[in-house]
Amino acid sequence: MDGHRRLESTDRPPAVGVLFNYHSAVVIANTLKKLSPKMRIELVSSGLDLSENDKRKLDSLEILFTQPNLVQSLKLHLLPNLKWMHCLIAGVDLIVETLKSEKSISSFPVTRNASYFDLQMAEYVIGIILSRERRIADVHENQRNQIWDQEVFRKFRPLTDISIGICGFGSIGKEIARVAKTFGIKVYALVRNLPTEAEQSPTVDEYKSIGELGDLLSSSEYLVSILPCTPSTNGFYDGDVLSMCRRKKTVFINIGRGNAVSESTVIRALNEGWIGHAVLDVFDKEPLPAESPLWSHPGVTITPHISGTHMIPERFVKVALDNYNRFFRGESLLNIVDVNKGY
Amino acid sequence: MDDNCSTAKEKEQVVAVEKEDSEGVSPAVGILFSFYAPENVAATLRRLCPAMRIVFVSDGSDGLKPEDLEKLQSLEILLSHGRAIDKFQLVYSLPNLKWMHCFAAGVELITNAVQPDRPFPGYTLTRNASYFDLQMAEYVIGIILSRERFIPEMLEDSKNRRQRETSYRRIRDLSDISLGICGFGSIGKEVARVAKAFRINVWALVRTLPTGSSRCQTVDEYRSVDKLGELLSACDYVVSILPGFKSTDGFFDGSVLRNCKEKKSVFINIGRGNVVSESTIIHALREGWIGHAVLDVFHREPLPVESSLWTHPDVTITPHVSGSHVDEEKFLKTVVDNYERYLNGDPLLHAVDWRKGY
Repeated sequence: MDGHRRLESTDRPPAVGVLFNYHSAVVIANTLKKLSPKMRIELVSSGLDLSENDKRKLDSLEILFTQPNLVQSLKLHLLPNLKWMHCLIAGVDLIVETLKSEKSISSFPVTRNASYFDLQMAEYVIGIILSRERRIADVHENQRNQIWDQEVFRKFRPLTDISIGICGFGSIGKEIARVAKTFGIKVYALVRNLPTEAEQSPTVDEYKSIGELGDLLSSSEYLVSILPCTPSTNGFYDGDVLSMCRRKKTVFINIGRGNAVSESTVIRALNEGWIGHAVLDVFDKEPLPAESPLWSHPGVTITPHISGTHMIPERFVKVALDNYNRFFRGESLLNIVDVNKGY
Repeated sequence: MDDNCSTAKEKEQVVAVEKEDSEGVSPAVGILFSFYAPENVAATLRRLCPAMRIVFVSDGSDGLKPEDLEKLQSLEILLSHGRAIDKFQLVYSLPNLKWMHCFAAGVELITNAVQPDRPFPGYTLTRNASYFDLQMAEYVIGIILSRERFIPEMLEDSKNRRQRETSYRRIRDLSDISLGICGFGSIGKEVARVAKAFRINVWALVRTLPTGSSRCQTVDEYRSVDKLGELLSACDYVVSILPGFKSTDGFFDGSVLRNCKEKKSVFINIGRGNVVSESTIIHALREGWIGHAVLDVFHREPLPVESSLWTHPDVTITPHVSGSHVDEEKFLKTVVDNYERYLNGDPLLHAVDWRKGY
């Protein structure tokens, strides 16, 4: 829903509520204050336990900066005076779920932190690729044993010899493509709608539609999934899909959402020799339970959902600030969540 | 005669070919080196350039026999490596040589042998410039990313079923870090280009400050050598790609690394080992001038087992692998291209200026 009610012009701009517990709400509020001194900030709470006073505050708010799980649990989309909600997290599947299940599509825009995470996630992907290709993990072992092993360490693949298949080509996928291209990596992008020639990005060598997923899988040394969590991506890689990775024994990296592939699929794909390794940053249940067989499989690397993180407050609030200015100028907002698309 | 010919017939052919040579057929290309399989090089060259006549001289491992030396001295073209030329002191001993190609980016082992009281050798010396550039940039960025994103730690934790989520979230925005590149040739420029893709701030140490259009878009700050201290104090990572000339001996020795104390820089050396001594590294670490040293090149290689660098907790050793001749065809392309140019009388690519050493 793009239409939003404009604020009536008053002398005092409405307060921005901050309800956040993923990271320090106080730090977020202070950073906002520092970067936008005229902004009035109402620090509502940093948790789920809301006092009566907190609830009154929330009810009065026209602008709220928050996070998806709180929207879901506290039904923040139903706040009576809300005119704009910004989500300080990139993954908004919980919000979409909430909005759809309530059947009350909000009449105000919901925006999200998209671009902040992009480069961080590209760093993670390229960092993982380089650590494997240049055996950085083995360096310390060799050094401990005082081995001067040129043979092994000189037999690397330059990145110009490898291909990456990017599934989910939003702003994160595009950033990964850009950085990958810097190294001369061949880039395949999986998209729902093939772009026209004018729309094509110079950082993508070949676009593939969902029907051509097999081509992409069989051509990529690395498969990076950034698929969001939507009904259409549930079990996206389950079944025999990953058997198409057999040719290159693709390394599967999941930094999107855990719903796209089941644990048993990953294990089967490894045992069948379809994929060469799995680097998983996201899971159905997080933290990954200790009983999960993924922990003990030698072909699996687990990272604790850190490919994108929000520890730098100034960067973290950037989209919120941009949108705050746009909101008051009556300009269109950035990164509006499309409930139908799911992100 | 050439010991690598497997049959008498082939030996005859080699002899026959050499006879033809003196009658004006294309000159033979000699091969002298041992650092990787010369037979592979010969085979690849023959495939890429069937017209090229290749004469095996030696792989140098058993020293140089008199007949090998004779063969060398008859050659117009020689493919070799600094170590072989240096070992057998051949720089001034090849009277018929018109073109020598050295299989490396850094050719100081050859150019360092130039004597001040003698004219420069009469042959053109070419090298593998540009081939190693991107590989070495991969190495530098790979090191930076592995440190900034704690990748080896995460891999270790994964094996041990540990989750240390909070630690791995304490990351810096790469646009908040600075990389100082000492030695800004084609490798340095490639490192800058790749670093910029991650929005890293790039400082470049140069001998002459560039003006206007000769400035690289990917460099944020240029510093001349006399301002080295400023670069060192501003950079979280300092990478040396300085060549191994006499003029760069001990470039980072003494107390110059004290300037790194500001950021406790990580010092990376992928150029040549002569620029910094082992004791300087150890001292700099002990004094807290630098936070860590990642060393790919050394005064002596392989690094002797007695070196305390091996066991120092803040030193990472890699065995001179930031660049490698993995893609043989690509690696030999310079030679093939230059062979054609040579035959046509055109200037050769990546020719070394004897005065500069590169």
